[in-house]
Amino acid sequence: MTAYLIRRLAQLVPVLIVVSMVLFALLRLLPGDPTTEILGQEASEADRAALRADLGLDDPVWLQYLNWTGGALTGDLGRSWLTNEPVGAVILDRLPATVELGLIAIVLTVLIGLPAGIIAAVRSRTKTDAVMTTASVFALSTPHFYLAALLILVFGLWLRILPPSGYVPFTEDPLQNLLHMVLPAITIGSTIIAVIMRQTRGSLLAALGEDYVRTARASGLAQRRIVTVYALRNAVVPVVTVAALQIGALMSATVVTEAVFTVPGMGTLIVNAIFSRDLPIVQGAVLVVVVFVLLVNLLADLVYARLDPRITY
Amino acid sequence: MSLLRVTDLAVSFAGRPGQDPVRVVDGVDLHLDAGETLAVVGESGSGKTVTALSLLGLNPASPTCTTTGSVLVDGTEVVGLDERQWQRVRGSTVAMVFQDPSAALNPLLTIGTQIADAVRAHEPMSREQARRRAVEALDLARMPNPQGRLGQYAHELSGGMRQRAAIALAIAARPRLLIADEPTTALDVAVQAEIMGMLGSLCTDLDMGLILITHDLGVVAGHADRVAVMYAGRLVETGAAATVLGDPRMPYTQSLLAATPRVDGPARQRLTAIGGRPPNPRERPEGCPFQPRCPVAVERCSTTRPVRVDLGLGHSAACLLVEQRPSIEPPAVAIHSGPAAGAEVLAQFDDVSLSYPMRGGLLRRVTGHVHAVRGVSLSVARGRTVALVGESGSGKTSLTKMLLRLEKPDQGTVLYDGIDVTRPDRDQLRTLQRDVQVVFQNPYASLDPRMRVRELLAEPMKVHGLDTDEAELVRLLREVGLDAGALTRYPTAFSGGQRQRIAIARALALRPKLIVCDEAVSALDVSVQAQVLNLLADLQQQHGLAYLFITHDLAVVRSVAHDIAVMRDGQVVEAGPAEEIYQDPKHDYTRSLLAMAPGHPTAPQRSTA
Repeated sequence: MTAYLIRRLAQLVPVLIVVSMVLFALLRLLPGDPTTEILGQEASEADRAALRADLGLDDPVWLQYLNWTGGALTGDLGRSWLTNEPVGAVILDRLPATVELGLIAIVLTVLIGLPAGIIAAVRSRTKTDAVMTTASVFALSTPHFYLAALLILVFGLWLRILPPSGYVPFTEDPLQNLLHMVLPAITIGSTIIAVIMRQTRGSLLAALGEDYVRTARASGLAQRRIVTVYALRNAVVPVVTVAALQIGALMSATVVTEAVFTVPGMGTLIVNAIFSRDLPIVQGAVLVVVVFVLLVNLLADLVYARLDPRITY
Repeated sequence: MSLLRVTDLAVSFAGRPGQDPVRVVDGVDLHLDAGETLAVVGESGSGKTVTALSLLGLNPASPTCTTTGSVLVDGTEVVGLDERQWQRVRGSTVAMVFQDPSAALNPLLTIGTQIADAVRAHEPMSREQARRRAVEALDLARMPNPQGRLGQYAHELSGGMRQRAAIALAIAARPRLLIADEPTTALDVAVQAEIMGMLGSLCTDLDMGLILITHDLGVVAGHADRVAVMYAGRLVETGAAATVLGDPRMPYTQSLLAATPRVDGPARQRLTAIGGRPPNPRERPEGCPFQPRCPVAVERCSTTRPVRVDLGLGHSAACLLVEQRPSIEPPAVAIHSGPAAGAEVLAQFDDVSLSYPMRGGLLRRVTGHVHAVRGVSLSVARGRTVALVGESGSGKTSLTKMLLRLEKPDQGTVLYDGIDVTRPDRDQLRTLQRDVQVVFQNPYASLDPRMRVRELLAEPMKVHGLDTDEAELVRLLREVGLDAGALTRYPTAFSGGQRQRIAIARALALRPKLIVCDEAVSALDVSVQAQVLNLLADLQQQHGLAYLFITHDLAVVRSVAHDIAVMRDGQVVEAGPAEEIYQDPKHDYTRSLLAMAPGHPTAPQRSTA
């Protein structure tokens, strides 16, 4: 297992190199001059030239890339062009809100998506199943920005039981923090809950049709134990795969959702930084997200081995 | 009082809305005493498995499936129990062992957990007690080192040991009646004999009744006290094993016996296949269901349904002609003998070895080798059949993979018609790909389910630029005994035997000279097996084909093999003309394989008192 872990971590290195190159190159292709954003339309050509030299924009692109990655290796992601704050500090400042949002969405998925899938499978081809399957289609086909607007309208403005937007740090007021998180977490979670529900339903149904479930029934085991231990354990392996893949989708959902609910997280940070051409912030934030997604998928692979004794690394 | 008494059992499945229910089992009577073994015999679709499942309440719930009649187990009526009541019966009164132990055991739970669960479902006890019961059950199933198996998973065990574990799981809660559904079909001959012997003594030792469900009368001979033959959902003949096998009265039973390959059967002679296939349960004929396939049927067979007639001593048969003692006595038809030994060599393995590397450690370095084939020399002559016989893992498939260019030998050469198979040039490669074809064991997996038969047949022809017009495809189908209507259908529309015919037609499409048959008939019912073996023999005669026939069963190749090579641990331990091997085996291993094969005079027989 340790050998496998080391090998897999080593494999991440080339992936990260390629991702950082693509990321860096794409951002340099963005139209617009960062100096206009920073100094304003009126600034003189001389001031701009000075700033450009200051930011290292006159260097060849490969040198800029090497400077950036060299810094990143020592933990220095550079400084914001706009505010001159260290990128690392800015990200650390914004990370908690996004992580909290993601965690709540995942908790909701486990609490709603998984049980809903199990119920739909056990009661397959009944009304319960039909209602749940239909609900999941709605959840899958509703865009996040639309669902967000709908939730704000209903719960925030009409019923007035939840704050429509904004953010309160957990350390300041835990209750208010959680209340503010409810609507954005539901928005982000909607897709994943639906995907996990459908995947759980499908793979549990398949597992319930397997010979070993028949063996368990033939031994007189109770239905409850057959579903939860004999079938679900086998069914959960593909669910983990899908869940890990959904983490990437969750990150992109965050970008839109945070913007709608004005949550000061990674999503808003990336969006604002792109609009203001604050490239060091974009690069740093996206790189952090990429590393996170890669690690989650590695984690999923390790989870398989725990779940399925036939998988050895 | 009998342990089991089934009276007038009928099982119907509801069809699609608007359709009538289909009666899959009809008017079945069975009885069984403790310590006794009853074999229920029939082809796929005869209703034998549905009958067995209804003894455990495992058929789908009503309204999908309706069961009527009476099933008394130990004096208690079980037809009409609800799910909770069934739970108490399953495992503790009636238990079942299924066909494929690799699918029947949960892959993610240890053997110990599964057996302990089965015990604790019926008797409340501590984990430690349940563990002890699991060890006890494994020991009864003659599992080596039972204590050590508790923490193992199914995939860590061999096929035979998996079946032992599955049997231990079934008997752990001390059932009175054990049902074994084709318990040895998926296993090697040697393991088959051991498992059957073990099941028999379990019955005696635990005073348990055993119902053995099988399509293979060869298995029944040594191991059953009584036999019940099922056809089209009905019981057609029943009685003591010796009587039914020795003096069968129903033509169907006779046909099944005639179709069963035996090592002591005549060499290179056509098996008596049963033509056609069992009737579709929706279109059962009015009269005797076997009438359309019956060689001795008379006119009234198609109008009058026979009832079972008691012939004394518990023997009964359902045939209108039972008084006249019908006999299907098959004419002995020798298979065309083919070219003499010493005919021109088509394929030749010369001192061939193959090993697979094992890797480990951080850098996945090669840490050792598994030697699959070790120094094998073998040749296949034009127009002749070489049977490659051995247990799983003996290297027979690995050997043929080198001929099919799926593996490269580490050492030695493989020649086909003068071509070095490992280094063919462009033209030679095309010749190889055209001349050497393969038919695999499982026709359910070897045909792409999303291709129509037309595409399946035409695909290899297109690759080789051959003409794929309708007439050619129909000719191919005719050759394997299918009609032109098959072209537009998908593989799922066909039975196992028909699919194997399609696989053979696909292999024939390129007009090959050599066909590798990798356990090509092992997955088929006995009756169908005989059809396919006869078909292969006919095609050999017509086209001068050579076969390299891989099998684990010496009886199966009795009717087709010219030469036999017995493999073990990657080596050929004995090779020669088939007749010599059957009559005078030189190697101990060949002798033991022959002794264990069904039908051999020294195969373990059981008294049928």
